[in-house]
Amino acid sequence: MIRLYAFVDGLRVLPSGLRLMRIHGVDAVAGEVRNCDDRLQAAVVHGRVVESLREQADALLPVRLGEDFVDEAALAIAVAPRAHGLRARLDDVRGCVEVGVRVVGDVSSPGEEPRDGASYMRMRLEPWRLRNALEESLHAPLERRARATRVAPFGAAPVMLEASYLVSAGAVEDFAGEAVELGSAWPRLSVTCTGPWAPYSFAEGEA
Amino acid sequence: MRDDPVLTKLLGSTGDLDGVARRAGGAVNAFPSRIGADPETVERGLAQLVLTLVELLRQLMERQALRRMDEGVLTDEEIERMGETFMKLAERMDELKAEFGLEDEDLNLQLGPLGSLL
Amino acid sequence: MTALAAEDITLVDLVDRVLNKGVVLTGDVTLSVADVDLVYVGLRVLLASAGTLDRLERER
Repeated sequence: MIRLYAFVDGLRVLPSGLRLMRIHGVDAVAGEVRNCDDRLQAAVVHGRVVESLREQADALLPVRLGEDFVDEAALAIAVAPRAHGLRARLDDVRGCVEVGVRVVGDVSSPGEEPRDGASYMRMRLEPWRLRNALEESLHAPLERRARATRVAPFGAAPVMLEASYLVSAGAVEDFAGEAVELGSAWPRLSVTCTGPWAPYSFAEGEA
Repeated sequence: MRDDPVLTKLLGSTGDLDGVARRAGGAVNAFPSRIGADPETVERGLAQLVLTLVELLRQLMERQALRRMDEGVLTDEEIERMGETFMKLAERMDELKAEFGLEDEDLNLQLGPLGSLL
Repeated sequence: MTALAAEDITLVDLVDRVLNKGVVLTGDVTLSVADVDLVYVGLRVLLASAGTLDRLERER
């Protein structure tokens, strides 16, 4: 099986064990794999490959885990119709990395079971207000500093907000500092900022 | 896996993170059982997609209702009726998720190209 | 917070990205045929309308 790891532009060093394929004007990085039962381990390995490529290329689009093909021909057939869009998307992320921000907090009163519709709505009002406030005072300022953003529309409690920001590589430290400073205005919540990642969240969808 | 440079990516944080880290540790331990146990069958993948979309719409509607409630433009009767509806919808969603063995996290993650809409 | 705890947090971030984001060619649901693509597009339009409505309401 041949596993597809990423699309790249301007790759300087190809790590050993991987191959570079040029398909309709776009470069794809792939490698041989055997089936791996431990999906968690496979995910970490995949992430490690992608992150090592990120530092070696001008532009990189990570491919999701599981894009495996029987041979190079099959891979090329799958990639060909997407090549044009992928080239454009590579331009969109050139020189940028992804920074993740997650806000976690438990804002509900414990043991609160809504008796009726009105109490259910009252119960839902507080988290809604908090989410709005976070979008306005934490997300919006960070969005202004980023080339693009992706916000998860809803999250499993106690995640209040989860977003990814496309940030130019040189601006990551300042961005993280800003995120932490903005987050410290919410002492009841915890804000974590992770990265720099390859632009996973910006590989698909509209900018 | 420890001391892995690909994992040393915490840029900064605020607040009490021990609880968050504990929860993350729990999520990490849950990964193999949740993902490995059930293969990506067509049916489960479809259920995941459909339920994610239903939850998305439910959240959208609930948020609209909460906004109007916050603005004070709803009558007590309307608040009660909407609350009942959303409560029932939420219960039904829990039942459907349980039926397909899906957790909240499973729904949140599958939006793919649709995730940038909100 | 220990270094181990920080790794747990970023491990979740990494695995979430690798498993659920990134370029998709063959798709999760292995029905990569025109029908499913149309469903995606159709729902995208529907949700775009709902999302826009939400945004417009907010800006009122």
